[in-house]
Amino acid sequence: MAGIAEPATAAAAEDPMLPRRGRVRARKRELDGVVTLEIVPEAGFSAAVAGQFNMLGLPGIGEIPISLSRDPAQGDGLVHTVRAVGPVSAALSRLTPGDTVWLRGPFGVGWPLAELAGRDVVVVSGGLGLAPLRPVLHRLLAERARYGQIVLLHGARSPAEILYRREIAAWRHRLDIDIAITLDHAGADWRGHVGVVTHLIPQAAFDPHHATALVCGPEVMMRFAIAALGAAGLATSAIFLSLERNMQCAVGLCGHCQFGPFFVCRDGPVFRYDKVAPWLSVKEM
Amino acid sequence: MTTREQQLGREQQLGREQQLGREQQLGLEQRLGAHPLLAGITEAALAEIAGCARAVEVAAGAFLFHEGEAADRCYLLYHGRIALGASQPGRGHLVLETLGPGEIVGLSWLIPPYRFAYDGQAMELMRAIVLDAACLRAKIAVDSALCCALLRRLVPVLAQRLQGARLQSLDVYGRHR
Repeated sequence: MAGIAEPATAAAAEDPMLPRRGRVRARKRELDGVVTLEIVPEAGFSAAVAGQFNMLGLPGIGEIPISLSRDPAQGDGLVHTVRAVGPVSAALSRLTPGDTVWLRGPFGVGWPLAELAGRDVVVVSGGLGLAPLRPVLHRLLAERARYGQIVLLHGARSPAEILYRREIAAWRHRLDIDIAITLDHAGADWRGHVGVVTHLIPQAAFDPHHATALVCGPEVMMRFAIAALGAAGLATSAIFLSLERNMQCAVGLCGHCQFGPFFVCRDGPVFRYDKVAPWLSVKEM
Repeated sequence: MTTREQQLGREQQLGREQQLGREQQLGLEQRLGAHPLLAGITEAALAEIAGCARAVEVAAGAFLFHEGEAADRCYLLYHGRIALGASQPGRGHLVLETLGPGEIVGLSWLIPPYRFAYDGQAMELMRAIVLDAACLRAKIAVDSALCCALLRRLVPVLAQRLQGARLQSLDVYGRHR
């Protein structure tokens, strides 16, 4: 998207196309080229739910959709994890505390948190796909008694590219969440799993008849994960996934993120798998 | 002790050993039958496979086999994990895949020239049933039902590992625009 216009005042803030000012409160380097920004929006910015996204913009550069990566209940700041892959994300990842960033949002449909109560929850993530799922894990662990088994199966490229490594280590100490991480590449000093994340699914402890799976990662990984979850006995209606598409207007007007009969920005990015299954196998959609 | 008593004692001892052997064999068959790879297999097939089997325990860090060695065995894991790896000059020992309880380690015995393609190393104390490949190959050469029962279980494993390797080769978690 071309560089965004200089934003209007708060008086026009209800217009979803008008950005509002935010200030970077904290910046944390997660991995090479990946940072987490905590942004304090100006007063009146709407609260978001896990799975939703905001458009983060920089005047003269552009704006991009970034999912929330922390449970909004954990603080007043908006937390987004950004990987520098293009000009906008690279510029965002260079922001430092005190810098200004422009925000629109929150947009889209989040994870079905209310539907998870009383059920086993299987979180399957790959690479940076853990970021949109982290707020869910925060919420599940904050309200642990409301859920059955909680399983996190995460795939990463190498030991150096495990996102939120310290936080995951802390979760492991809780003993009320089963965590398995697998890597594509590892040296002999790695003591964990090596192989694809789908390989972890048959070994995971959950009741497929009373479980919901939340999946986020590269789309090819999600397709294989969904097949493995199906083979493990999960119904297609018990699998949710977060899709990534070229979202620009974020309100279902421009059509860039059209996905079959849906707009990912407005109807997603979280979808129940059986609703979108016919279009997932359509190339270039 | 008379000769008769000595003979009775030897027969009793032999009987106890045979009984122990039968119990061990039965225990092995039960353990084999409980392994996910052999779920649903007939008792006759299980007995044939058990005839090629023995239980093993491998210490953490020990190598089960090395790349290029004769693939004269495979392992049905029921405790611990192993790493399949290969050495690359300048990069040391690389782990390609890890396998755990309920899985089979070593598929090279199926395909000539019957050589292990990778190194296999126990990551922790490993308990498994090891199957003698020459024994199995001899049995499946003359027993088409056993051959079919085994291949029906092994081909999906081969396919799953091929798919996994392909997915890994895509480097889906890399930085792509």
